[in-house]
Amino acid sequence: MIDYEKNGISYIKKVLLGTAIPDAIPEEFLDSKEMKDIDETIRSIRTSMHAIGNGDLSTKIQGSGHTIGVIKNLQATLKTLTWQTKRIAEGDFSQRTDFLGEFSKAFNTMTIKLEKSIQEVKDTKELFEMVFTTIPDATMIISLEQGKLFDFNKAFCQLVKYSKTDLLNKTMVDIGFFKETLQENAWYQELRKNNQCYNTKINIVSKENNLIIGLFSSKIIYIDDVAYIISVIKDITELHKIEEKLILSEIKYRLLAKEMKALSETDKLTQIYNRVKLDEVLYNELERIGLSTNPIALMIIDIDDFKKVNDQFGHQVGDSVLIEFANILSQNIRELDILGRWGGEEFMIILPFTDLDGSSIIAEKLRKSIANNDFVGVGHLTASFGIAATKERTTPDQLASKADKALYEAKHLGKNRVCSYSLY
Amino acid sequence: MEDKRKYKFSWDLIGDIQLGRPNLGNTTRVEVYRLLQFTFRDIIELNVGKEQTDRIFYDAGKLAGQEFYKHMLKPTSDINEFISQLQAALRELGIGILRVEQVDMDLGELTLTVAEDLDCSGLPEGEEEICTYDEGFICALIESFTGIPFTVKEVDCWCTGDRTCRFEAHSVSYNATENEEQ
Repeated sequence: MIDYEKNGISYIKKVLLGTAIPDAIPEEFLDSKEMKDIDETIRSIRTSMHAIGNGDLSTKIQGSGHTIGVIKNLQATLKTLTWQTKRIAEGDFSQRTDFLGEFSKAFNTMTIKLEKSIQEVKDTKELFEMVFTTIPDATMIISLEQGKLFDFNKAFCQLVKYSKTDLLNKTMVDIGFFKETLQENAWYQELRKNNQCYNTKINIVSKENNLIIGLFSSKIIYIDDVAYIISVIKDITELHKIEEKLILSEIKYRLLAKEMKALSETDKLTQIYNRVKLDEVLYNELERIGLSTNPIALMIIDIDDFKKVNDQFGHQVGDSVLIEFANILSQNIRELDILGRWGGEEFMIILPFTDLDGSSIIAEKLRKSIANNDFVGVGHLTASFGIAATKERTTPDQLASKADKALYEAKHLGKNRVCSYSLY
Repeated sequence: MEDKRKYKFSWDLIGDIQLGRPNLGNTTRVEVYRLLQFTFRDIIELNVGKEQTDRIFYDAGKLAGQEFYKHMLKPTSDINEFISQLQAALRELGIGILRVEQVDMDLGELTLTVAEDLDCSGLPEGEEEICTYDEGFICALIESFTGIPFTVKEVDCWCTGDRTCRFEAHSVSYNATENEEQ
């Protein structure tokens, strides 16, 4: 009897704690219902716990009693949790688990947070779809690799004049979307490099083959790990036309202004500067004198006995003489000299960086050219020259007055000569 | 025969509890419920035998399930919504904690467990499952929801040593089709 009990305890210990256990209960205990119940229960506990431990919840747990009941309850709980997890995966966030202590709290918190996160994602998606649909600018999503249209809004259809059906499953090439390959390539290149681009001007073509100038703001996005380009296209075709017109009118305006300025500075008859321009140049040159010690000379030229020309040959011939006279002066002065008609038959030459000697040489050269010229319909004429020069700051009136004084002297001395007056 | 019946069940028989129990209210203790049920069972069993008693309790549970479905649940065609409602109602009324182990409506199969069951949790262990009333109750709920006949069998029960009552429900029509095919 002692051996029987010892063997029984030893066997129970073996099936309870051992890694490997005998296939069946020893023969000596086959007649004992208690030992058979204990053996079956322990074997059932081992089998069911092993299965549950490996995540197998389908095993039918054999036996009964408190311990087996607890294991069945655990299996039932795990099966329920599995079912609930599947429900959550299908979007049923009403699932809660109770009476499992900390686990219930963690599970329920996870479900609530997951629902909130998914709701946020849904809200964001809805917001995006709402914005995408209602945005007044044409918006399209195309695949980066093939340029295949993934989605587009109503404004896009309106811009390119295609219906939704026309555009389904089409690529950019299919609909001949881009007008210029160079622009298209540059756009792709920019996107691949920086992932985005803003306000890139790209010419596109509508279904009716009309040119549309689009301002593209694009960005690479990922949908299910596939790269796409989302683009908002602003139609600036009309704006571009207005811009071109504006540029053209600005050019015209500038030309007109230039022309008006030239007219306001030019003597209508001789086409050389008028007195207004001469006053301006003289003023500026004398201002410059104040900043340096370079000299300046002013020459006033008067055609001798011009009144007789008018009286004898008429004003028309007189005008021709004035033109021819201005041409002679113009052809014989330096590039830096400024020639203008001072009034009537009087002309003025401003000679920057020129002293009295230098200007006298030029005056003498001019005087000879005039004297030797045979004026059309009139013959030979002469002119008198009055020069004033200065190195110091003075006023235009003072300098002109001195030149005028020298001219008066040349006239007084018999005309056809050069007289000068130095202010230094 | 019909006109001689004394208590044909209607929801009105539950009565106006607020009116009738202004001080004691709408709750009682589990002992009272079990006292009622097991004294009934005892006397009925004495009169008609064990099997007939089980049948009576199954049918009574079924009638209760049909009325419960009509009066305590909101109509829905979504199985998950149905289960959620049922779980909430059973818990709120203290009937038990309903859990779902498996639902396959294509196969017409459901496995449900009820823990802390009003009928049996805490009862002494015996040889047989005792929740025949629950079987009928669950069966009627599923039939009312699906509109097709089901059979429900309790496979684990507190009374047979388990800590939770497990019920397996099978669609009669699916099983019939399966048998015909075989």
